[in-house]
Amino acid sequence: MFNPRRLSLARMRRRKTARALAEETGLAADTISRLEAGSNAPDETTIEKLSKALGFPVAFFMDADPEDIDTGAVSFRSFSKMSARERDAAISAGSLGLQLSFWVEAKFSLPKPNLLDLSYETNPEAAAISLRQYWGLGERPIGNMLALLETQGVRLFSLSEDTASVNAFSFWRDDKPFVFLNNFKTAESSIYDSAHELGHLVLHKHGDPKETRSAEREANAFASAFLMPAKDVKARVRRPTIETVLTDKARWRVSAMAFAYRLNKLGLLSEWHYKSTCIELGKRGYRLGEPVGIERETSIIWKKVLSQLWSERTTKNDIALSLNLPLDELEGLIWNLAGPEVRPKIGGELRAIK
Amino acid sequence: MEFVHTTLLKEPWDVDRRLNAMTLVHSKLLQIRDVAVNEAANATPFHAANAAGTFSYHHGTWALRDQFAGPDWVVDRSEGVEAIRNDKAKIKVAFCNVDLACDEFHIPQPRTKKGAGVERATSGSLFDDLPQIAPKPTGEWQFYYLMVDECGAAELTRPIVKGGTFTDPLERIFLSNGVDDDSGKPLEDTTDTAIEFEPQIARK
Repeated sequence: MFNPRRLSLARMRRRKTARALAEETGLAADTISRLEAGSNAPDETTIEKLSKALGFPVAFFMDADPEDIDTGAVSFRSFSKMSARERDAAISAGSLGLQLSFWVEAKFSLPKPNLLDLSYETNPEAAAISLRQYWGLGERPIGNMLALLETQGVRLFSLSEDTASVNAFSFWRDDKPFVFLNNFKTAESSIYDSAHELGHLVLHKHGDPKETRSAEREANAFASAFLMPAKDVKARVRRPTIETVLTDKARWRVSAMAFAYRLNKLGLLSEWHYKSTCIELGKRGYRLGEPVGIERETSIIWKKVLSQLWSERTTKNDIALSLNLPLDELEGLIWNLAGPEVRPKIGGELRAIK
Repeated sequence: MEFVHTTLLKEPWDVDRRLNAMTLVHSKLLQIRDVAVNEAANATPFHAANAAGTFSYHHGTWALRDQFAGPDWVVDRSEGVEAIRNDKAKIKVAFCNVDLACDEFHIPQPRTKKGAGVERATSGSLFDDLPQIAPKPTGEWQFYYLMVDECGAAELTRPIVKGGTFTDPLERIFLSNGVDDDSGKPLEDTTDTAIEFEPQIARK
């Protein structure tokens, strides 16, 4: 039976207005509205048209209600620059991600969530220290932020939004933390984004994280302190120069700009020195990218899940089919995060048959 | 001089039965280990060179008392050894950083030389090391160390102290090899490099 909520989801995911979809399908805009409201039931031909225009299989529209995400409880990064359409598209990706997550968890045991609720903590720096202590990280740098999050039970998905407006978002669902990351940014920016989302997950778990400047500032301060612990930075950085900023940032796997900002906050770079450092970094291309950057982090869990499924002869097409999802959506959710090498060798040496 | 057979317990059911008899709790001992290892990770190059071990010792000792001080166990400082004691069971337990724990082919060595007070407390002897038997302790108290190494491996061991180090463990109870399967806790890197993680999954 046709599920009107799935039509809304697919339309939002494709960032189409009802009018645009109507034009593409040759239907009236009112018809689309009535179909989404559930007042009309479409015939087979109409469903085919909708399926073709939206690029979602017919079976997708016949499935159960999609997983709703409470938009008020979602923490978005760079929300202010985001249009409503971009926001809806990202939320829809979150809904599809939940569907995929349930599918995977029915087949695999994943690490249990092990985060602290630090919503009582008013100082993000102290919250970062508390979480580091709880996880036994001490003052040392984190070698792989995504692997750390996955080890502590965070469910990670990629966000295939080819736009800088949506950096990342996160939310809690059934006491499980979910993070969606944009893969079109530099490796350092993605690491920072994931720490920022971690900040939202622990600092704003029970609050209403609707985008407020203070919540963003808190998450940023948390990310900065979590990735670059004050004592470790102070013990290692002496008289920072533009050259040492560019070499030392590698220890904490952060962008040059983020590192310079941290040095300024810790009093290791004066205001004047910080400003001139930022100008120089900008001239060298570090404002828009990371010319000498690190390798992108990938998800270890997705790699393992996909390798295991592949060894059982389950391909990404099979996964997409069982979820009634188009392949591009599935790939958007995980493939960028899992990295290119997810296909293990199957079987062993060839044997002669006598 | 009488001798006794040494024992090594490493199977979970043996370990838990023995710990119950000693009124100790496996999970609490591992929590003490966690506190000690976590605190050691706070050392930076600005701290003194021995800071990691010092942090671990002080907080390990604190956690030992924090976990167990109560009706059965009380703080004990006799012979200058920071420990807890159970008057009824005549057992004392102290915390110690060691080089390597839970390796049955290696006697854990303390990372700081032990003093005469500990030697007396553990009822030392003049005999050389023996593999399967050890000198029977003469004192009425059984003195155990919660031994934790840098990788988080932990054992509860009743050593003999001689010449400032451990010899002839009378009893060794292996608590954890540093990888606690169900804790989800990452393995600690012992060097000053970045910490890496390896999340685990299992097919249902």
